[in-house]
Amino acid sequence: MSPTLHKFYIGSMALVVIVTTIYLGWTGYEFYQLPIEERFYHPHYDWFKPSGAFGHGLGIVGTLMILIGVILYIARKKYGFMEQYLRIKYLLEFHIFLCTLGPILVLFHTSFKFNGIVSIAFWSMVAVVLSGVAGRFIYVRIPRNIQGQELGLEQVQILHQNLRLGLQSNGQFSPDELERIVSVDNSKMGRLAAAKSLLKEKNLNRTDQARIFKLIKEEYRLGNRIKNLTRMQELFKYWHVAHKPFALIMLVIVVIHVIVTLALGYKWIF
Amino acid sequence: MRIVIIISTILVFLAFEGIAQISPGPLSTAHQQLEGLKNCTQCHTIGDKITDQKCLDCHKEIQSLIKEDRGFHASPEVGQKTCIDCHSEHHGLKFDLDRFDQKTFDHKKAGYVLEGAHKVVDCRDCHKPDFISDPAVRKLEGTFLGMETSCLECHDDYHQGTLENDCVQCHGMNDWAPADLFDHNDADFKLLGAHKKVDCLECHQETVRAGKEFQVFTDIAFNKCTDCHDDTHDGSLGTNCTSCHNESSWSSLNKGNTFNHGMTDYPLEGLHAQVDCKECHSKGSYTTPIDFSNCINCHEDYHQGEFVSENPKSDCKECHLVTSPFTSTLYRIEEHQASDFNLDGAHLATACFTCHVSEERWSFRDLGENCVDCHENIHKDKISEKYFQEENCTACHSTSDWVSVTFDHQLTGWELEGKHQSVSCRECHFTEDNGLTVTEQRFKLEDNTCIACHENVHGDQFSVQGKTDCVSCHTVAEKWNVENFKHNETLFPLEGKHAAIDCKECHKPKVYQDQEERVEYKIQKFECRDCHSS
Repeated sequence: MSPTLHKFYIGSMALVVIVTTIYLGWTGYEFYQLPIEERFYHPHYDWFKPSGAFGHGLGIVGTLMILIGVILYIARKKYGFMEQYLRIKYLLEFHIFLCTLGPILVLFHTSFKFNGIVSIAFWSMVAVVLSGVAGRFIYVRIPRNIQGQELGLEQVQILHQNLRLGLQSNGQFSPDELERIVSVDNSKMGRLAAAKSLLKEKNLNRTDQARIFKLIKEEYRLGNRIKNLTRMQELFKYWHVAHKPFALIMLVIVVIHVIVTLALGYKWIF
Repeated sequence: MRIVIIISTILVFLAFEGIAQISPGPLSTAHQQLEGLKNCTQCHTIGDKITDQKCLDCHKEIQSLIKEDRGFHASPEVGQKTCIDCHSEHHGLKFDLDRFDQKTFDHKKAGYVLEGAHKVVDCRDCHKPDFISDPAVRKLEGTFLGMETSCLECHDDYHQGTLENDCVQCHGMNDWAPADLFDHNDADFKLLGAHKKVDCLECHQETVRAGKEFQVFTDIAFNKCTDCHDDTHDGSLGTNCTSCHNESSWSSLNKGNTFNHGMTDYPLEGLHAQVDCKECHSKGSYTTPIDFSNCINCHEDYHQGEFVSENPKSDCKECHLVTSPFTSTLYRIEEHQASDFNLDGAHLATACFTCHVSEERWSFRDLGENCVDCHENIHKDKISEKYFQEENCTACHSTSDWVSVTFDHQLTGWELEGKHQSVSCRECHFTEDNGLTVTEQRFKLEDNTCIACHENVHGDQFSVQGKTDCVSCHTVAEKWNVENFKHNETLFPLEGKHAAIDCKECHKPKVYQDQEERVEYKIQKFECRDCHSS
């Protein structure tokens, strides 16, 4: 997937999430903002209520989105489902899309009524989503190969070394100059500013300057990740402990919720 | 993975323990006893959401109403809905389960149409525990159930059980009093005549019974009039008032009422038997004594005292009878002839009213005895006092006929002779317009000569010292003859042939200086040739 296509892919999903959220908020604002005790007497109660045609539909569609997003991601990640066609990076982004939009639909399904056992599922869902956001933060800080598999410290260091060599050859830096650039123990901005001023002294054209500056940034990022790799890997272990149980709780309670709902005769439009 | 499962299990367990329910929200206060997982199926039916039967199993008061087809829940509109359509749950403790717009609620659907004053009262004026008979329903806080449609369920029975409970038979919805719908004709005692105008309180007295205000409407005796009315006759005429009286008025007696006035000192006779009792019994009661010794004690004296006399005591019956109207009288010609004014001549043939009606009123006294008291004196001062003393018409006229005059003309010194004796007085003394109206009366004549009355056709031909004496030639005999004229005593005695010819042969018309044409009698020329041509 080209960077442009990837941006479109990400942008489309983000747009769908934003538009859907705005639409749902706008169309049901009058109902959702009412106190719980007043909602029954709203003229569109039967439409927006959690068991209503609209509200119930949101719950079902949102749950299915979450289930699809989770199952597809786990199937690919754990069991190599469609390994050849689904890049783990893109699938994770799709997982994030479905597991963001799905909870939003579920949020409107609840009509912002957060009580009862279903609320546990809801808050679990919230916890899963928030932990997902945190996980994503950690995830991107652990270098991976193109298949999304984690790289070990040694592999990362080799990668870092290769990057330095590339800089040295492409940027016409002497080993001392290069050492000066990367050893500046300063803030990111201070360090990059020092690199930029050094580049200017080299009398390079703008294209080369940009390319080399990008390499410097990658070297800097990779250097940072090598520094934090052990800590991030440790955090990621614990993150699993937080993310997955809530997902499991949500799943269990949603199953109970669905069973109870069906058992009591609430079959949506069927 | 094991850690994940363990943590998840712990969290789920904690969640169930903490929340201990699977409900989508707290139940309202009214249903608090149904909170908890074990109670879901108290309301919910497996596979069939919430059925009305579950609701009605608890809410038996509603079920009874529906079975009895009473109240709002038995209405067709509600019948098409399920309980949960109107009464939702799981909306929190404070949720109002049966909220509805009390101002716009169509009470007709509750099986009781609000009319009149019921429209304006507050709902809670009626829907309050005090008016709910069922103890179970009465306990339901804020309920609108349990009301009966009977008036007495809410209103005090003012009549304290003395009348039927169906108040609307008499009372309208706007106000208790007056009882607009009550029709006294539906009661055992129907109001007739004056009873309709009597204030209700006259018969239905207000009192206090059982410590409360009370008005008596039942157990009122009405079989006899005297149950309510005083007997002004003190029982002297029996107890059956209606034999004489009716409901229109005490003073209005029944036509053909059976009261026998003959029992009284004044038996009704003649026209008295036909007049309404109150015509005479106008004051007090019928037993109030009436002085009937004299007619004018009751009747107005039309004659305004003209016939009143104390000794002997006069009374109408001297001239009138009770069997005839007052326009009829016993006074006849004979009585009139015995009066001071004897009727004779034309007076006998004159209608009474001609003399006795003055200004549309009959008058019999002080009419006067002289002619001029009744008749107009047309002569006034035209006739000398000498012949018409004190306006005494009888000097010339008589009661037989006005036209016949018996005046002795000789008294005037101008005796009527000849033709004068046969002509009407009017010929000489009246000038009449068209022979009808007298325009001039001439009685006091200073000129007694003929030409004062007769026309002088001869002019001054026979005038002697300015006066013409007609009788020197004419007589006053029948035909105004010229018997007193002797031609032979004139300057031209008639001789020979002259004595045989007609007068006109010589005396011919001639136009005089005053341009009048007259026959010339005094011919001053006596020569033959003056008449005869040569």
